[in-house]
Order: sequence, then C-alpha cells, then structure tokens
Amino acid sequence: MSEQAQLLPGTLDLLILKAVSLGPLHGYGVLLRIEQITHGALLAEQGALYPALARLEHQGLLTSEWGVSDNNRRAKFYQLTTAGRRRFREETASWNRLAVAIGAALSAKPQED
Amino acid sequence: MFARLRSMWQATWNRSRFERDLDDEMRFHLETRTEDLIRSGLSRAEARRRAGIEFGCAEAYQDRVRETRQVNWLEDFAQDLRYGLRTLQKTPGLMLVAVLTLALGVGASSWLFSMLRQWVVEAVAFPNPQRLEVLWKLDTKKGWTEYVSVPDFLDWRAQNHVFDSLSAWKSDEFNLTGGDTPERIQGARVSADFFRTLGVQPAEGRDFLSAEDQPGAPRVAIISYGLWRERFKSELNNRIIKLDGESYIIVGVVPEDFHFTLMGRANIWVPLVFTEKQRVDRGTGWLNILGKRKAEVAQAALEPSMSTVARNLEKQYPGTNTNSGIRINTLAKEIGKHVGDQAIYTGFIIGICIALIACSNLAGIYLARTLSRRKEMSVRLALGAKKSRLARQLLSENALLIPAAIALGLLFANFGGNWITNAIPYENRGYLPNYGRITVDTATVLYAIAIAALSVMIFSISPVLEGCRLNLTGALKESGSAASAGRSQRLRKLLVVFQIVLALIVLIPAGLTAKSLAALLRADPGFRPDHVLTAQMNLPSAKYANNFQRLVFYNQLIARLQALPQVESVGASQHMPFGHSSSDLDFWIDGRPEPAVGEVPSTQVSVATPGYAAAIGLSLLRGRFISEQDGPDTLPVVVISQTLAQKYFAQENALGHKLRLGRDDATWYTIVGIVKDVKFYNLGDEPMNQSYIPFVQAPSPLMSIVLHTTTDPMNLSAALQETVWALDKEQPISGVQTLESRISKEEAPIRIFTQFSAYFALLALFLAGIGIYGVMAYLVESRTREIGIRIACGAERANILWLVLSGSLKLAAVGVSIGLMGAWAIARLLMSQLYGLNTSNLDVYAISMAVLCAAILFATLIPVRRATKVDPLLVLRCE
Repeated sequence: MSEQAQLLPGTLDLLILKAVSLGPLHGYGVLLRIEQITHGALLAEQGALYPALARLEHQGLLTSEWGVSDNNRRAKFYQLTTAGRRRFREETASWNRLAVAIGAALSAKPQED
Repeated sequence: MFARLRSMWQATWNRSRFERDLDDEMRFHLETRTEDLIRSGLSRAEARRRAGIEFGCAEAYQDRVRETRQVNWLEDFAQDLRYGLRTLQKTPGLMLVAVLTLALGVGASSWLFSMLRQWVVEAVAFPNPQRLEVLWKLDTKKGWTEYVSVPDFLDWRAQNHVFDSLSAWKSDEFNLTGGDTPERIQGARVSADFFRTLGVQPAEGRDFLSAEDQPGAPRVAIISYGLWRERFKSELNNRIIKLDGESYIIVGVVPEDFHFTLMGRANIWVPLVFTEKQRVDRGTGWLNILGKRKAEVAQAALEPSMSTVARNLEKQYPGTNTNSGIRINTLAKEIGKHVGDQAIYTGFIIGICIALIACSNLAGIYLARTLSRRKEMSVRLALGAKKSRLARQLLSENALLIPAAIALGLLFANFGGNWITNAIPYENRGYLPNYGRITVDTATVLYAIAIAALSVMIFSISPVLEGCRLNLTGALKESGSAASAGRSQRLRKLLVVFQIVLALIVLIPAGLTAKSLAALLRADPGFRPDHVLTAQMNLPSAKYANNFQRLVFYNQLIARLQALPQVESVGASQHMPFGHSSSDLDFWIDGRPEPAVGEVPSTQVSVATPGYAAAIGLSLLRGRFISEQDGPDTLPVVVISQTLAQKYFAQENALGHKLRLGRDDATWYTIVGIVKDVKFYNLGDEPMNQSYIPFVQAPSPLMSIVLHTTTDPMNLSAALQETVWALDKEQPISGVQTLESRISKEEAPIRIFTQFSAYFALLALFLAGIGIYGVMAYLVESRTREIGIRIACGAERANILWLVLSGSLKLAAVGVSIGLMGAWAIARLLMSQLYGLNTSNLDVYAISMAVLCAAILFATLIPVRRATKVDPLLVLRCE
C-alpha cells in the first residue's frame, strides 16, 4: 500500500471539485477518482466524503441527479455548476500560490556570513 | 445565499425523500465497494466487513449531512421554544413583568396608532383624494384667508384651466318639519356638482342634476344615511319634507360611510341657489370652495395658475378685489388644520415613546437573565455547541414573548382604550374619531406585531451578542459576583438614561397641555357662564314674513318667559357666545377719513333685546345697553365692545360717535354704550370687535334665547319649550342647553387631549419607574461585595448611601439633559396650537423634571436601603 498522507482540512473540497470537474460522478466514483489522481492517498474514512459533498451542493457549487451506474444500480451523480467551476479555479490558483510560497521558504539557503 | 435557502427548503419539504436518498446513496457506496473487494479476491463476508470499516460510521456521517442541509431547523426551533418555555417557568415573576410591560407598551402604542390613523387617513376617504383641493380668498396684505363671494366663485369656475370642477358649499341649519316632531338639523347648501367633485355616488336615489342649482329649479334634497334610516325608516318614494317652511323632495341618500369632515355633522344637502343680488355682490364672501384638480396638472402648478385669474379680477374690480389672491390647500391639509395635525404628530411620538420605554424595560430584564445564565452558556460552549446555535436559541426564547405581548397588548388597547373613552361624557366623544372606539383592524394588528417584534429584536440583540461573547474560563470560575463585564454595566446605564429621556419626552407635552387647559379655564369669558339656559330658534320666513310678526313673537316669548318662576332675567340676541353663528360686517366711523380699499375694519354684529346683557351677565363699562327707550322709530343706536372702543377711540370718549355698519346699510348708528368683550368661539380667542344693535330696529328671525335662572338651568328646559310651543306648536327649537355645557363642549378637544396626555404620562412614568428600579437594583446588587468590603474597612453607612445615590443621580442628570432637548423640540410643535403657552414655560419644565427625579429617587431608594443594610461578613463569606 502506498503512503497515505493526511488530508489537510479544506483540501478535500478542492479534490472533490477537481474530481467532478473531469465529468459527472457518483460518490463512490469521486472516491475512486481521488484515489487515482493522488496516486493512492486514500481518505482515512470514506464516509467523510458525503458530508463534504452535501456541503458543496448546499453551497450551490455542485448539482446532483439520480441516474444509473455502471453496475446497474440507482446512484446519485454530482456535477459542477458554473459557480462551482469558478470556485474551483479560484481555489486552485490560491493553492498554487501557497505551494510556491512555502516551497520557496523551504528551499531558502542560510545566509553566508 | 439563496442556494442554501433553496437547498434547506427542499430538504425540509420532502423530508422522507431526503432521508431515503441519503440512505440509498450510502448503501450504494457500500455495496459497490463490497463488490470491488469481492472482485479483488475477498470472500463476501470479509469484503462486507472491510467495506464497513473503510466507510466509517454511516450514522454519524448522515447526521453531519443533515446538519449541513439544516434540515432540522424546524425541530431545532421547536426544541428552543420548549426549552424557552421551561426556562420561563423557572422565573415566572420576571417573565410576567416582561410580558406585561411589553403588552402595556404595545397596547398603548397601538391604541394611539389606531385612533390617529383613523383621523388622518379616513378623513379623506374619497377616490383620488390627493386631487381634492380647498380654495380660499387670500388677503395678500394681511395674509389671512376669507370666504369667497359668489361672483368671484363664478369667475374662478369660468376662467380656470386647472380644475375638472369647482363646487361651492355653505354649512347651514334647517328646521325640518313634515312628519313627526319638528327637528333642527345640520346640513349644507352645495353646488349641484358637489358630490360629483368628491367622487361620491348616492347609495339610493340619484345625485343632483346640473340644472338644479339654478333659480326656479324644483327644490330637491339629498339626505344622510343615518337620517334616512332613522327618520324615514329606509323608505324614499319621493318623500316631501319641509325645510324652513319650504317643500323639498328627497331625491337621494349618500352612502353610509360618507363623511366630509369640514361639514361636521351635516345630515342634509340642498342645492346652493344664488339670487340675482348675490351674483353681483362681490364684496360679501360667504362660500367655501372645493375643487378637483385635473389629473394632468401638478399640485405646485395650481396656485400660480389661479393667481393669474385673481390678478385679472383685481384689475377688473379694484373696488373689491384689491390685494385679493387665491390660497389653495389640499383637502387633507385643510382637514389636518381643522383637526389639529400637530397634536396628531405629537400623539404619534408619544405612542412610540411609550412603546420604547416598555421595550427598554425588556432589554434590562434580558440583560439580567442572560448574565445569570453565563455559567450555563459557558458549559454548553465548552461542550461543543456552536455559537450561532446558542444565539438562535436565545432569540427563540425571546420570540415566545412576542405573541403573548401582542395578544395582551391588543386586548389592553381594546378594553383599556374603551374604558378610558367611556370616562368621557357622551356628547364629547364625537371629537374622537369613530367615537373613541378602537377597531382592531388589520393595520393595527400589523402595527402591533411590527412594534413588538422590532422592540424585542432590537433590545434582545445586544444581550444575546453579549451572551455569546463569553470568556469561557472566566465564566466557568465560580466568580459569580465579580464585576460583570464592564460592557454590560455600561449597557444598563445606557438603558436607564434612555428611559429617562423618553419619560421626559412624554411628561413635558402632558404638562404643557395641562397648563394650557388651566389657562383656558381661567380665562375670563366676559359673561356669566353659570345659571344660564340657552336655546336657538329660527323663524321660517314663510310664516313670519315681516318684521312686525317677528317682533311680536319674540316680545311675547320673552314676556312669558320672564313670568316663569325661577327666571331672573330673559334676553335674546341674534348671535350668542358658543352659539355657532355670527355675522361680521365692515364698519365706518363718521368724521374719519375713508380707509383704503381692502383695509376696512370689520366687527361682529348682533341684534339684541334689552334683557340680554342682564341675562348673560354682560358687564357695562360706559353709557348704557340697549333698553326699552329704543324703538323702531327712535335714534338708531349701537353698543360696542371694549376692544372696538380701545382700538378706534383710544384717546376719546366713544359715546356719541356714529358708525355705519355694512355696505348695504346707510344708517349711522350712534354709540350709546361700551360693554366688556365676550369670548365668542373659544375661551382662547383673541379679543375682537363686537357690536349690538336693538332688536326692535332690525328684528332677526334667528335668535338665541338666554335665561338667567335662580336654580339649575336645566330645570327650566321643559318650561322653555312649552312656552315656545304654546305660541307656535310647529316652531323647532334647537340647542336647549346650559351655557356651561356649550363651553365645555367647545373646549372638549383640548380637555380630552389633556386627559389622554396625562394618562400616557402616568403610564410612561410607571413603566420607566419599573425599568429604572430593576436596573438600579441590579447595579446595587452587583456592588454588594464592594460595599461589604467598604463597610468592613470602616466606611460609614451614610457614605455608602451617598456613593450609590450619586451613581443614580449622575445617570438622572445625563438623562434629564438629553431629554430636555427632545422635549423642547416637541414643545415647539405643540406651542403653536395650544392657548396660553406664549410665555416661557419654565414652570412646566421644572415640574416635569422634579416629578421625574422624584420617581428616579424613589426607584433607587429601595435597593439603596438594602445596600446599606449589608452585613459585610455575610457578603464576604458567600462568594
């Protein structure tokens, strides 16, 4: 099993948005997609996904629709709204800025004198 | 935001589906995961177990979803209410006080609102009321308005471009006969298009035809709904009645809710027919004018447009129309002036102040409760409750009070208000809109809800915020009596100051109106109001066509009345004080230069019999009153009033000079006496010119009989009427009442206003007193520990007393100074409308402040005494 990093709070939302941005998914599918794109960093508890999904939908960033899954079962599919797409873009940009800043800080060399 | 609301709404609306979906979604996840694990080689049982562990506690996650969607808001609210109810039950006394004070405030405020609204709004209940205008002739030099003459009216109607229609009207009284008892009724003569101008359709029958106000038209009348129902038993069929002896056909009935405030209690309307003489008499103004502005014309354009018309008339008729303009007021404004709109605004302000006082009481109570629950709140916060949830809960508890207070308040308003108005004598209740009966209609209920909700919300927000901003560790410690957050102390002091300010604002107008009423009642009327019985009669011209007949009737009447036992003296005058009739004539003095046109002075004129002065107690200052020696053929004489004498004969003896009265009368009347002024319309009148000429020289059909009696005047009312009917059984008599009751009816509005102001002032004092007591008690209590320490360290009890007292005095000082400013502003509003307030009113201010300070001191007294009785050992021990 690959190393499982602890998910920082708040990043779960970002990952969900990213997962759904690639196409409509049901809850389990989002889980699989996240596992896939993070190369194996699983969620500690899978059920934690659902409150996050509910929150994003409550805020109007996702919409949901009942449909039929690959295994012929009734499942709830989530999709990004326009607002969700916008929020995703903003969050990604701000995360990248943060990453760059911290990376720069960590790679700073000690002063010579 | 809307997305969240929508989401919350959808979840709540179809709760079962929401729950089902939630279940299905998580089950799908688990089953699909199980299948995947089976595919990767685990047994079914093992796969299921693993999937379950990986998923975690489904119930917990379901709860979190529910929380996110806020699907429980309704249940939470119900829970809050139940909890609030339980808390209320723990401190019932406090909550009872809270609900009662709020109810009192809401009730008083709603009652005032309902009354004033009826006055203001329903006074103008016609279609397009904003286009209804009242026109006056304006004396541009002196700035006052006058009645309009017939030729001016006709010209205005013909020459204007801004009115759909202009109608004239004049109030009048009629003798109604034909049927049962003769009756004297109020009414008006109106242009044929009067009701059309107002936009009123008759409920029965028809309106006047345009031709019906021309000379020679058949005599028709329109009556009021009340008259139709009571006197004519709801039947018409071209009923013929006699008004002043002339036959009229009733053709229509106005709707039941028709009410034209400026016409008072008019019950019958007849067409206003102008005689030839009136059509050319441009100098005599006696008409009221009502107009309907054209829809496309703006209000502001009216006066400029009409002043062009006025200027044309001025050029054409310099003799009568110099310095004559046109003043136009909207009907609403005119009624407002009639009713006294500044009193109304003051009333509104008082109502709101009362409500606010009640609410700040509430705020004080809330603050107390919130702080005493600090410990409970801190524990809950420590256990993980969200601040928003706590705040919601506090607000919900308070919300319980609102419906209780509203319901109680409206009950107070209805029954309390009616109880108060029942204390007012019946005939005076007509001055209150709807006879003082409050109708709890939609608007009033909405107002009550708004005021109650607003006050509860405003005044509980801060304590709620306060409750949430707790320092956990500090609150959890057992330091209950440690200085409560300095912030809350400041808040409470602010509340006290606020209440003092409001109380002063309510007190001072009450004091001012009381002072005005006292001044009014002290004012010298110029006659003797007690032991005088009055009655008015108008001899119909059909029966009493010439002077001789009138002379005979009244002389006989007076002689017979004089013979009655218990009658000291009898007299009659054409117009009497508080008799609702008068006539003014221009006058000229002999030997003086002719005054400029438009500046001729005028005087009230009344014909009187010799006995009048004695009967009414008119003081003679010089010369003589009208006497037996004046006959139809002797020297024409006149008796003038003090004001006239002083104004025009200041340096000389007026007796012997001659006056000409009225344009139509060439007679020179010799002044033979000077009498004291009488107040005519109102005890607060400015002195005016008055004159009396002998009845025998100009017998008027309209006369007021005045009897000076030895006993209670009303004892003689039956005898008076019998004497009249013995002479003429069809002669209606009106206004048989004592002079005192006439005066009291006239002064009723100010008296009622004063009464109500006093009630409200008392209410305000009471509410403020409760509030101040509560806050002071708390402030003192919170210093109990400090006081205990001081005493233990040797402080004198007297010093403690002063310490606490000075605190409250400081607050009082601040409150009073701010309150004075607010009250002064309101006082200025009132002063223009009330009598006798021209002098500085320092006494009112001083008394009000003294009363308020006394109340404050009294409210502070009890807690202060308790403070000094503190046993230091007890205090220091129980922490």
